[in-house]
Amino acid sequence: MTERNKLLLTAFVFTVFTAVLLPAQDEGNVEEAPQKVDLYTLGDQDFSISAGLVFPLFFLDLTPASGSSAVASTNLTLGGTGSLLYEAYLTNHFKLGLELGGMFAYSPNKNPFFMVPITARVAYEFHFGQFSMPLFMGMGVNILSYDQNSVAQFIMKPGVSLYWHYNSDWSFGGNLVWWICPEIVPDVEEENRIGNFLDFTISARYHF
Amino acid sequence: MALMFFSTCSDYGIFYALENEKVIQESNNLKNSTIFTNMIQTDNYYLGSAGPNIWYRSTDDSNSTVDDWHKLALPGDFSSDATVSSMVLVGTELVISMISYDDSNVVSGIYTLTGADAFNYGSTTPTWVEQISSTATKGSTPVSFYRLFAANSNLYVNELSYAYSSPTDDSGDLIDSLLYAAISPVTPSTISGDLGNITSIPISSFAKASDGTTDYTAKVEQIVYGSSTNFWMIINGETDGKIYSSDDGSFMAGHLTDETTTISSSSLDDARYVDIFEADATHILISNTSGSLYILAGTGGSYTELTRGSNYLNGFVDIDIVAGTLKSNTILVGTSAAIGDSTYDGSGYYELNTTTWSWNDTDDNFSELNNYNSSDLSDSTINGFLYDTDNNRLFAYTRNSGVWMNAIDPDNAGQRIWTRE
Repeated sequence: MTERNKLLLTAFVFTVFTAVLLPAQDEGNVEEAPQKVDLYTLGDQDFSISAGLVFPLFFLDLTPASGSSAVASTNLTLGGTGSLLYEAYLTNHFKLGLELGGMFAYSPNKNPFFMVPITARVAYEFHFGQFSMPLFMGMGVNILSYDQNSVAQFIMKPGVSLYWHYNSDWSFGGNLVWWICPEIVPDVEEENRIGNFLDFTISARYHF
Repeated sequence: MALMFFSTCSDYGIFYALENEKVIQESNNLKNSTIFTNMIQTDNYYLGSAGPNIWYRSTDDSNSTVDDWHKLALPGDFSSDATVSSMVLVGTELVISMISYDDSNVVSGIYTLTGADAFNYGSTTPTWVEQISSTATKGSTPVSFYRLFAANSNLYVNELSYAYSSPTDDSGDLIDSLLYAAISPVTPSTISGDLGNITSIPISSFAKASDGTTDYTAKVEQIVYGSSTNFWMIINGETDGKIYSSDDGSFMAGHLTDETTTISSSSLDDARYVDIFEADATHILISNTSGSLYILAGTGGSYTELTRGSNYLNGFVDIDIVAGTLKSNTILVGTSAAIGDSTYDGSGYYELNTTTWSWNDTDDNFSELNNYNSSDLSDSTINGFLYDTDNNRLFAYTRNSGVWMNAIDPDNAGQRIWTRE
């Protein structure tokens, strides 16, 4: 066999081997694509406790007198607020909850003003990395109390939160919620108002 | 639908009230804890008795500052912890009763200031004249307390004798109650020498002691005159009281009518009395410890009963007076402690309509409503009122929130507001 023929044979054998082995290596290095695992599922629940500040924004008069502004100052001081929240997940993102809260602030003559909202909440929660961000809307009954007068009115509380997952049981974060509080005075319609408040709270959330 | 479902009725808009609330001015130097038990007006001054002090200030606000109230020098016979227990202005005489405790010794007395109606309290030190003085030792001799009343330009003195159980114990028994009168014109000489001893008032004829048999004496709570001769008096024993009237001005036996025997109301009859007020020539207002207000249409038992809230009713002022009407046909009725309560959480005042003899609505206030509702006055216990018709001012002095003055709002001449002195 001439040198040339030996080289040709060697190249042919090398080509054949590589053609056979390379696909085998490819087959040996192929992995399955990882399957996505939901953070939460139906039956998961959490319980949160929150505390923080409430900023009385303004009162809105939907039928102001001629020449009067529809927006007026609340005359209230910066206040405090707290709440307890229970939630149950329906899916990884969607959950329902029930919240009991309270707030206080003071009038110009240092008289205390209180609100106790009891709301049902629906939330859609985004997850990214170690963070969760629920967007939610709460609606329910709000008990207003001032100067020995108390009334129950309707309330809406849209808001957003941001949580950091410390571990599988605990997460910590903050909340920003707008309190929309209509007050209807049937006997004196010109005194109807919509109170607007903004709260910023920090929370601890336990998952179970 | 949700709004209607969750909304409940409200007496007034809470948000509306907050939106319109203004800071109530503290216009003067009296502390919020200053408790006036009585307040009078002389030609140029207001005077208020408050525990160990009598405060005065000028009725002239043209040079007003925030330090207008000053303490009046009191008789020097008493220690610094002495209490002014009564203060009345009778004609030109300012008459006060005082009492002080020095360990187990008790000193009490009646003092007068002549010419008090025109006295210049701001620049002259008063010269007090002792009329009656007594010293007793607790647990040894009875202690005398003097309650003063001014009615129809007469001075009435109810002397109470109290027997303490021991020198160190404040418990004891009221063992005697006498009523004296100095008839107009009242001068120091008539007070000290000529007080008629009206022992025939059957003050001890009712209200037995706890043993059920011993006569128990009673206190005179108030005396008012319906006319120059027709007066009314309320007296309280330990468990119940009496209402007396007289058509000829005499306190003597045979001239008094026990109205509680003619009034066919168990709730009016079986109670102790808080206050009495002559509304007009034919109507007397009496409040009792059941929280009711009785409107008596003269003597003889005809009456109307009103109730309101759960407070005693104490302190009356007619704000419909020819010289300075604040609101027509209206009497303000003050409130005191809640019935059965040991604290002094009142509810401010109510308005009584003297045309219909019924209560006005809570939002029908002669003064600016939001200002009143947001003030401490609206839930105060009121000791009394003083209406200065010449200067268009009304004072309400309270037990738990100081002294309040009502006047025209300097920022809005169309309304009146309350400020705290």
